[in-house]
Amino acid sequence: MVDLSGLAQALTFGLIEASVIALGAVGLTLSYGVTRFINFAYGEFLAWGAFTVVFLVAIAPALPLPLAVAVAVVAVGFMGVAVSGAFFEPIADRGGLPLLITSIGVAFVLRYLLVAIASTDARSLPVPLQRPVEWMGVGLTPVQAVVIGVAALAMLAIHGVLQYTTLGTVMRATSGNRELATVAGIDTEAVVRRTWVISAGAAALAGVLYTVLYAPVRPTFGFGYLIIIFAATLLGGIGRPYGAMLGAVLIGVTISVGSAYLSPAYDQAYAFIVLVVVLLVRPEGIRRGTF
Amino acid sequence: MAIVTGWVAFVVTVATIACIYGLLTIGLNLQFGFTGLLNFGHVAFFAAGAYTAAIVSMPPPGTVPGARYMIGLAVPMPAGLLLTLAAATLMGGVLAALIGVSAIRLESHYLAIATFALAGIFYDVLVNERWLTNGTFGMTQVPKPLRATLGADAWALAYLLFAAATLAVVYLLVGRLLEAPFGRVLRGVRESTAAAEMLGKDTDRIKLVAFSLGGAIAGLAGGVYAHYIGSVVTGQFVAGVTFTVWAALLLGGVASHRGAVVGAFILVAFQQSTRFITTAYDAAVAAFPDTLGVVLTALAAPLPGHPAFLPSVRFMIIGLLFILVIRFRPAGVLGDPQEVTVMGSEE
Amino acid sequence: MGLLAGCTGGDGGEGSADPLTVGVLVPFSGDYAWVGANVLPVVQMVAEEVNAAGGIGGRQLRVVQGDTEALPDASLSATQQLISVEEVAGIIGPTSLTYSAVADLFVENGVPTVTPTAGTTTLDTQGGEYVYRTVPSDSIGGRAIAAAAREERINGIGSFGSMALMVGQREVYQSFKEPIGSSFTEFGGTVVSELDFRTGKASYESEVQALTDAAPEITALVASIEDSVKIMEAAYQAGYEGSWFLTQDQTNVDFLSQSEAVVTDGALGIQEAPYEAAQADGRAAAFDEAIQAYAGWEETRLFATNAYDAANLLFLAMHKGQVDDGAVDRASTAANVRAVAAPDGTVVTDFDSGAAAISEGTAVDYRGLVGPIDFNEFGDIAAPFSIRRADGDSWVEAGRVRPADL
Repeated sequence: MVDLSGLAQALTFGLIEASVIALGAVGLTLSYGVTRFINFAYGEFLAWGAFTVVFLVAIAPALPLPLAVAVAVVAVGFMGVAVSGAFFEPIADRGGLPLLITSIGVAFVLRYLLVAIASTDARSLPVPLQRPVEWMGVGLTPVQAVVIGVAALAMLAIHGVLQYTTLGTVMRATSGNRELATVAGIDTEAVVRRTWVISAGAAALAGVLYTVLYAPVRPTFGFGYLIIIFAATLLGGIGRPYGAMLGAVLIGVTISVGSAYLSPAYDQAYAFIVLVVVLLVRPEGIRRGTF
Repeated sequence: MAIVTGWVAFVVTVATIACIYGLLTIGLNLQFGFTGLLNFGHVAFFAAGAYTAAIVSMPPPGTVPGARYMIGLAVPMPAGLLLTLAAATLMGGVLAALIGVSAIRLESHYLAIATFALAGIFYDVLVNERWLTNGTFGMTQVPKPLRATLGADAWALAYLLFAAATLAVVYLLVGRLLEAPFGRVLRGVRESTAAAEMLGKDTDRIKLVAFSLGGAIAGLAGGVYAHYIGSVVTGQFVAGVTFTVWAALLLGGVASHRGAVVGAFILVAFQQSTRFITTAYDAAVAAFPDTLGVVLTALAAPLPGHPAFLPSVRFMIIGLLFILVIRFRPAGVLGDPQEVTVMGSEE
Repeated sequence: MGLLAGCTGGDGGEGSADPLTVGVLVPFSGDYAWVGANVLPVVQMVAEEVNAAGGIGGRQLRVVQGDTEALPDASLSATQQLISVEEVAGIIGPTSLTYSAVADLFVENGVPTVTPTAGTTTLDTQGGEYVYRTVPSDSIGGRAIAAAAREERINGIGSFGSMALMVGQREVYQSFKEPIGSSFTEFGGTVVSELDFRTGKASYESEVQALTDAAPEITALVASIEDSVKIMEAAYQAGYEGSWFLTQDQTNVDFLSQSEAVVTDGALGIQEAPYEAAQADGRAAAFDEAIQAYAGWEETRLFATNAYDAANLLFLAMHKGQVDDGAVDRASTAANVRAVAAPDGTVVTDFDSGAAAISEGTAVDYRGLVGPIDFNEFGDIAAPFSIRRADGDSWVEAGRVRPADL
């Protein structure tokens, strides 16, 4: 007999985690769309985003947290552009495989640069500890609700950019077919740069939200979380942001329900299993349509 | 034996570790360099081999204090060494075959992610299934064959010779395989699966064979490792090992059989040499206190003082290695640029 | 303190003779990098004091790091580096994590090894000839926890009858589980739940739910600081109402600063008690002041006092070899570690007075900061424990457990 309130609670935890995963997955899938390679360095933007906020809070405690987060998101966004310009764009014509392998190297450099600066200590953000509030039969703390809200707003903003701005239009065109977009007169290099800002910025925000939920975190957490984000991204179909959001929900719920009802010793493994199954059965993802 | 002292003893240890990594790199080269299969889960096959060797040779759980594992077959050494290594090789191959049966058909990017995820799952299994692996306590009583008879120094040298011989045998066998028609088919499949299929080759089967062989060699490396260190713990089998082997492969030259071994030796030498940075710094400052010493001290002063700094720099250098090799010399030290450019194009 | 500042372990000015090298064989990278960070400065500080007083037999001490990375193969090469290349006269280390991979190297090369950190129960029946430890075994530590949990007069909160064991799945934590559990039962309590959990997870909702369901009066939580913070906070949010008993890893200011008082207040913890004699004559306070200034710490960190005793023992043992035989060699140093701590000598508490006594030919009994340091046949010691209680952002001593009580 299934304990309904327990299940509802597990689903809620899954949804909370899904909001973090979704933000990360959307960012990853957007950059894949225009660059066409699987970026193994993406997870490091999460860590850099989180630790930039930790650093800002440490040196300027009077700075309100939302402002520190905004600064970090913008800063890491531009770091993404810099990384792309230095390491990926120069070999962009070589095809996906060299870029993928290069991204492993970039991941090492970014991760251990952060460790070199910040050491391996685990850190937290000054988030208040709260007791959950009963809401429709499940417990949710206000902070968790804020996390869901911020993630939702951010994804709404990205949706807005994609659907209603010129940038969004050219991004969609470039991700559909980069050569054709260039021929059509689109400055694809500028599009790539701007996409990286959004992509890395989304990752940074995801990293901050992750830290708010799961503190204390170490600077090396990004690479481990990358597989979860890959799972969501691939589940939704790579290059499809709306699919990524859907994939994230499924992955988040799978992890939560699996840990609660099967074995808590294997948590992320459930997501890995879903990922592998998806890759084997339907690599193009679960969502129909092109975007 | 008095000769195995000082630097020699250290070099013997490093060389033995390099032989083990050499085996791992040959395996990966077979999978990626020659067949084009992007395997980011290589450490799982290494672990499978090491744990198999351990399970087959460890004393039964009743005799080991605090044992949580349930299977220890206590095969006697040194006669049983062949058996444990064969079992390790077999297990590496079987695991690779199991993974390969479904994953082989995946496009390379997806294969990379799938193998990476599967290695992650495998690691979780190693940690959680204590009845099999003794969990995080590890299997720490793996016998070192002939250690008691030979004594520490002689054994170290003997084991190095054994590891090197194993490496040499595998190198020759794989080399033969690559010269044979099978090797040509592998390259054909690597260049274009579609073309190979048009020629009537069963590409799935070929890829599976190559993948399994690569895994088997990694399993053998695991067996050699287990009897050398005597201690098989989960902490050893992390993703970092996979990427170290990748770095060795890239450095030595993808699709270069010789390059795989050379790359492994260079990389292990590099990693071990970074142990001596602080000693070298000391020596430099002591030898030239006035000029170089002052300069060095001034340079070092602003660097972060936490102990994770130097190891981080080492990893950053490995990352840079990936980036620079791919960008400026994709063929690595010994690779053939012809073979490598072909690898880059697909679909 | 700068990265390479303490490298030479001294100002390096004097001593034209060959330096005497000592290796510190612990993790300096990865998750356990903090062990190296806690142990190394202490060894360097003691070495500098020895060097300032003229060294040993006119030779200056030189401290070298061997980074085990908490991995077996790296430990093997690090140990070979120290033993074969640096030709160390003695080693301080290793940790429980890598002991089994390198133990026979110590024995075969006859290298005196004193470990200030390895509490693993595996060492309960090993060592004593070349390998010693200045940290009590987890079997004693675990027993002390059980004893303290059962006695209100020790912990100041209550005599707990039911306990849950929540232990991370790593050897260093699992080593505690059996001693705590079996001792608690022996002392009359009941272990209602044993929860082993994966370390390093992002969140522990399921495990905490299982804990709350078991409703123990007290939970012994054996885990890293970051996992403990997550678990205790999640338990607080889930409405857990029992008490907590933490181990040495968490009983420090660092842990309290990472979580809120409402979660940690009233939690019990354990630490090696400063040896009463060392407190009475001010040595403990003097050490605290000295090492905090030297290393830039806010509090004396875990294993620092153990490392102090380990260093002093090793250096006194080397000095004795110098005095007796005119040279320092590994075999005599190994035997002398036991000799300089033997209970029938003149009591000394630091290197200077100990060296002076040894030079005059007197037998000494080194008594450290950790305890009287009397090695049993396996090179193990017993030490008193201080039971602490969290109050706000600091730990208050609630009571003591002496080895005799166990």
